[in-house]
Amino acid sequence: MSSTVLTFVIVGLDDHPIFEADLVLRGEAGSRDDRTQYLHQFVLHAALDAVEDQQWQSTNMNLGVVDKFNNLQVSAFVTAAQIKFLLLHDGRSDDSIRQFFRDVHEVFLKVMMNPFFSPKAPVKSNAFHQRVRAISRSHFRS
Amino acid sequence: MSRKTSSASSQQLMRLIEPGVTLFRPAEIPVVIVPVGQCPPGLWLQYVGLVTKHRQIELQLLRSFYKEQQKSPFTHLPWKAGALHFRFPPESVAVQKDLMTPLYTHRKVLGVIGICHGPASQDVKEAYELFDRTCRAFPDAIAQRCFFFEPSDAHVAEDKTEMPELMMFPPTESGGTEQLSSHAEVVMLDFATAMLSGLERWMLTAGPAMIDLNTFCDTSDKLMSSVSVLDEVQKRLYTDEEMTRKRRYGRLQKAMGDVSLLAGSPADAIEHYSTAIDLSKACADVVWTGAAFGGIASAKVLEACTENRALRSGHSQASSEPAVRRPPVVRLQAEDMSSVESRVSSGFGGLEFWDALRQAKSLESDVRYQLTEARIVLRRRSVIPLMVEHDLAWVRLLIGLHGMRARKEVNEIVSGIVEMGAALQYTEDKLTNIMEAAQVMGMVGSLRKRVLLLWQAVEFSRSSERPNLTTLQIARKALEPPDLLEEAGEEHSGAPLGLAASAGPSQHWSAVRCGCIEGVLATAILAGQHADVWEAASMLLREHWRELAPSRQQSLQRTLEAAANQMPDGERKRPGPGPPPLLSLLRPLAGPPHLQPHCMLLDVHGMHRLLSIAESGSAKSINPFIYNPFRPVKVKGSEEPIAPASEAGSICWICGESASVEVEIRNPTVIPIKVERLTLDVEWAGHPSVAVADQKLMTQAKWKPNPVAMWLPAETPATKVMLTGMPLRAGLFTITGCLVTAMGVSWKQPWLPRTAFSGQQNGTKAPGGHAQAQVSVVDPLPLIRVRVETPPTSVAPQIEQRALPSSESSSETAAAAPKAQEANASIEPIRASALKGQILSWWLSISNAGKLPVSAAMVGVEQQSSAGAMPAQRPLPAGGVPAADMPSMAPSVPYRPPVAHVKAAVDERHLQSALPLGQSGRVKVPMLLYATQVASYTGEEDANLSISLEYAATIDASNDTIGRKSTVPVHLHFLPSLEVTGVSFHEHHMPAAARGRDTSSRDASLRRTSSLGDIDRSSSGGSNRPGQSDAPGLENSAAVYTKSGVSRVCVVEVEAVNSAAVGLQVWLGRRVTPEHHSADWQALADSPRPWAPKAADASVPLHAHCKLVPAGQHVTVACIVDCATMPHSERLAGMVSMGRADFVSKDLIAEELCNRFAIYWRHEDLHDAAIPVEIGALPLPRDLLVKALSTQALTLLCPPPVGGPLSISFQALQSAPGKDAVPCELQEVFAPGTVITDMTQSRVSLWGTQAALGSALLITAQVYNFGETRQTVGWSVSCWDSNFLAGEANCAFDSLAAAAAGQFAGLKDELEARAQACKKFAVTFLRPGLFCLSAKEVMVTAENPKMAKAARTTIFPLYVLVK
Repeated sequence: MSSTVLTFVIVGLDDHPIFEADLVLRGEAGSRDDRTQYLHQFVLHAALDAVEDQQWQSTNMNLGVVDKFNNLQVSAFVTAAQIKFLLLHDGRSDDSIRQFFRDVHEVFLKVMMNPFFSPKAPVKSNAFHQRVRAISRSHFRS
Repeated sequence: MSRKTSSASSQQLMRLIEPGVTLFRPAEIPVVIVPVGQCPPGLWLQYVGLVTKHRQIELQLLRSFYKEQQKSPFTHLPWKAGALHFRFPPESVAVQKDLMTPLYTHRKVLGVIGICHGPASQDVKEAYELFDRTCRAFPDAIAQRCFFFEPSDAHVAEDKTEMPELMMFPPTESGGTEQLSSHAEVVMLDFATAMLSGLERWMLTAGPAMIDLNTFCDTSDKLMSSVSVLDEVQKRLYTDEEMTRKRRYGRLQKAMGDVSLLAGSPADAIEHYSTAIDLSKACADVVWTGAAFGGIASAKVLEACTENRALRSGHSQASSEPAVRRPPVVRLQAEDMSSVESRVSSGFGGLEFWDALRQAKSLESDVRYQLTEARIVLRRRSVIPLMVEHDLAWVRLLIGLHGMRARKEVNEIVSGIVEMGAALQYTEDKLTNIMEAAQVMGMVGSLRKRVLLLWQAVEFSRSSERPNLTTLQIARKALEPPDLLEEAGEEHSGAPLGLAASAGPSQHWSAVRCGCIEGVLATAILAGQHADVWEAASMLLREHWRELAPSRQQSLQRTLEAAANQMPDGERKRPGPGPPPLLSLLRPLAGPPHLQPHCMLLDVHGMHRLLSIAESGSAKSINPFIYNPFRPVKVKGSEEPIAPASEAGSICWICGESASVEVEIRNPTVIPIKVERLTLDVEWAGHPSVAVADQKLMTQAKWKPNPVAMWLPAETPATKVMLTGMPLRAGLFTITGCLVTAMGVSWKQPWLPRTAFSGQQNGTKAPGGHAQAQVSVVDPLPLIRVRVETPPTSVAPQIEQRALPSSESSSETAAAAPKAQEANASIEPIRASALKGQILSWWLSISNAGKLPVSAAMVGVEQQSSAGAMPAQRPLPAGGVPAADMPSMAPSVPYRPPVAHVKAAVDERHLQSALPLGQSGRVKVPMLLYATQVASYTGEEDANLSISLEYAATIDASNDTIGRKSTVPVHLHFLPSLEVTGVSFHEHHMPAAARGRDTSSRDASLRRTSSLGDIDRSSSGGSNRPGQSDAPGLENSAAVYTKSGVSRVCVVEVEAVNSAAVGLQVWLGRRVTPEHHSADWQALADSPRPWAPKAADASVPLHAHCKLVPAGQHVTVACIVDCATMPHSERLAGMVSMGRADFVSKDLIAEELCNRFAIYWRHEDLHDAAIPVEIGALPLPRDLLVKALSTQALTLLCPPPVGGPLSISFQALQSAPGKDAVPCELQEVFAPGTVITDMTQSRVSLWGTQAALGSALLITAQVYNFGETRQTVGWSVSCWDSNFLAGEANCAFDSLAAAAAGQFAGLKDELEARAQACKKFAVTFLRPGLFCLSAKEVMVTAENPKMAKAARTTIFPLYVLVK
């Protein structure tokens, strides 16, 4: 079990996750216990309320840290198509998070350009998954 | 309700924060309602309802009860607008000692109301003593009352002098619940007055000596931190004694402020609180200072309420039934009523309340100021519980005032509350803090945050080892939508609730919801709540099977089984949805067509118009456009789209008969499921004729299910299943789901939408999958068994006849109700063969197979299109190339015989006379079926028709009568019978005497022809117009013939071939419509056929007899046409005489003849007496008739009408010796059968004169002008030889067969009105034979051109037989 927290979620148009990745865990090697997994899901899920409040008050796609729960923080990024990127972390720097979101957004745009992409259907592209991990590694080197 | 033992033990509640705290709470007087003795639960709720209804009592109502014995301490009591507010905490909560009671008066129980159910108490005294003992548990109570319900006479008679608090209610029998209600109102006013007096008394007696300075709030380190340095400095400013005194007075003032607030006097409260703040501040009594600031905030709010008349009257907010107000909540277990009661016990709230409060000026800023001040004070000693309470109360006020708009501020405050919560000392406080935060977040629509907080609360509760049952209650909340109205204490304003309402739990992430359910499951297992374990495991398997690994699914299954085994028997019947199988409603099915109810409409003429109910729905939508673009397109060959089952009334079932519903069942899990019992769950939604109140009282069964058991293997895809049952009552039924029994537990499984059912993410529209379906059920209907009985036949082979006993073919359409499953299987039609034109005399055997009598019935026949139930593909006709030999023509079009139009005549009189048809009654109704084929087409023909019987038990003239419709499909195959090959018309003379004789002799002479359908007889239409047809016409227009006693008629002669395989008797006759009770038809059907007599009767045409024609032989038959009876004869005659014998007039005449005449055949099997005589009628082919209608025929058929203006006639003269030539008498020159020439034989009778070969015959031609004007006629004489009888017109003068002397060409006569002219000439015939003298080239010139145009000339030829 990893002590650091870095969970990335893309939330589709109907406010349900279409992509989830625990960016700390390396492949199948490790796993978190049920309680921690649920906690992360609950916190990310709860952060959507805060995103809803804040997304219309800023012209910036990057909303910064929108919600906190104990030592967990949720940073959010809302694309022009109202697709939300949420990153659950334990206090990463705003700059690296902003860069991470920007790079992921770029890759995600390519996914969206797929004519078969639906903003409500889960993203199952393995390549996208790997790219997100690569971006995460480049920005959140610990 | 049983007396709770908990009331005796006043355990301490280790909690400082009060749940559901608001700024209104300090103004609410806690009153506990306790049971005295036993009371049935239902009555207990009713009695409690009577009390809690009066949660708010206006002060002005107390005027009549209140006796001001001394001056009231509440100097500013708002008697006009103020009110006393009661709060009714549950007894279980009230008995627990609150640690904060020294600080807050409103946390003490100030009133006790005991409820005693009279029939459960032996005597009143005993009950009162029990009440007295109960009251001792509440030492702070100011007012007590014991309400005694349903007293008996003995109870009333008891001495009650020592029971001052006893209030006896009148028994329900005497005045009903209304009386109870009004009694309760009075009693509560009395109670409120007692309470107010008690509060006043306390105010008057209160003194500093009553104040304890060593309370929990002073000594405990759980409430605040240790004394700060600043306080220590302040302490040193005063002496200890002074400090103590100030503290006592400060606390006293705070308590008086509390009591003033409870008494409904905020102005007094503010005064006391202000004094308290000053005093407390001076002595650094932080907690009381903070509480006093909070008290001022509450007083300000209450003042605003009073000033703005925001308070509702106690009567208007009487809706205290929690079940009514609660939104539908998916609960795992029924929540204990205490928590619900505690929530609903606030009298503040509602749209009007908040609207009024918003009008208050500077309320928000005032309250904010007071609470900020309180916070500043409390922060000094970190009095976290009070700070949390103030924050929560403030947040609730904000939500009430601003609703969802306050979400941001609320979010921030709640974050602060949650952070502060960590510093709380008591576990219970920490939990309450999280729960309150969650509740507040739910109120502003932050449902996701709420779920997170609740989940946190569950985790905290579990980690702090609180009782599992309590943890379970918290865990349950996460699965429920926020109870907006109740959790908010009705503080929610009219602010937009859209998000909060719409974002239900299903909107949460699947993983989040899964986590919540897992939490419930784990807690329920620990708590040993098997029912909750069952529900949670079911929910996981039902809703989250996609996310669960197979191993988890299996473990859940084991959990389910274990829970099912350990569940007590009473809990084995679960209300809500359970584990898979998943069910989706496809559609309710209507019964087979003949069992479906039909709507029988009675129109103004009393005739039944029948519409099927399904059709009547579409019939109502009258649209002026033929094409409706919104109508669903029916694609040929494709399955019919499933009708939306949700449409109420589209499907109709019958009471007491089996009904079926198509359901899809699915087991998505990896566990095989054994369903022990699966039945439909149907709710009776009432009947229009039954009053709503009566419907509730109806307890008898309304539905009899038909259970099935099944084994569903793992991962069973959606499978169609037919479930059946039987409605036992008429009305509207709602199919809500299925009752499933598995693992010994039964539950109600509602329908799932098909999108969720099939796992479609994008919500592709799939038919069916409705949440519910409504079906209307009609009263029991009679059931009739209809059979068509056909007699044996010998004229046509029986093709594809169904195997039936004896020689009788029948088709039963009435299936018994249990057989309704075979509903949609189409009924095999009756297949029968007939010769063309055959009039089939069948019977409809109707028997009542039901229990109800049939009092109305009607038979109808509908012809179906050819595309329907046709026989299998027939081989190609002779000469056709087999398709296999010609690959290019492989998809050959199957040969289909043409369709014959079939008509039917049913003996309705017989049917109606048999009604009403009692149980197992039978009636056999004769029926005639006939096809109106034309006797020219030789091929075979087919016809598909359905004989329907519509019937009902009763006829309701005012409403639509519901009955049934049975249909028997019939497939008729027609074989060729007679083929007409030629038609010809002939002139026929009849002795006028024969026509003009008396009726009896006329009948005698025409007997033979009359049975053949001589048109002379009064036709079925009764159009025999004597003035036009017979006597006058003959007398005028055929003067010459009349003088000689001869009349001219036309004979139609038809040549036909017998194409049938049997010999037929053939004749030509008047067309008779087959009808029962019609004399013509009876005559035709019953009378034996007349055979051709050996000695020909001169007055009858040669072929006017019935003839026996062997198969394949030709026959000629004839009959006389009397055109006078033809309806359009005058019009047609006009056309003909004007030389316009064009196609139109020929066509009209041909049509008329087609309608009038038919060629008949008859077959009698002489070898088999059992086979009845078979008769057929075929109309004449119109094309042949048109072809045969020559000018001569037209003239004969349509003679000029009576009173024609001109006539030309010829007469032979015979010269007697010594005398002038005199006209010869007419005599029959030809009788039927007379050989004219070698080739020609006379078929008709002709009258004329005889002449000797070579001798001159004197002829006089007479021209009559019957008109009123002068006319000029130019004409010539022609002489035709006998070939004209055969249709060839050779003029004898041209062929030198006759020589004439005298003028016979270019004749011209000028005739005055009513004058005549004569021309005489002599004709010498040069060869023997029959000749005909006639006029030709007739030219009429009248003075008036219009008259000339209209002039019509009647020409009477003269037949001359030359020997």
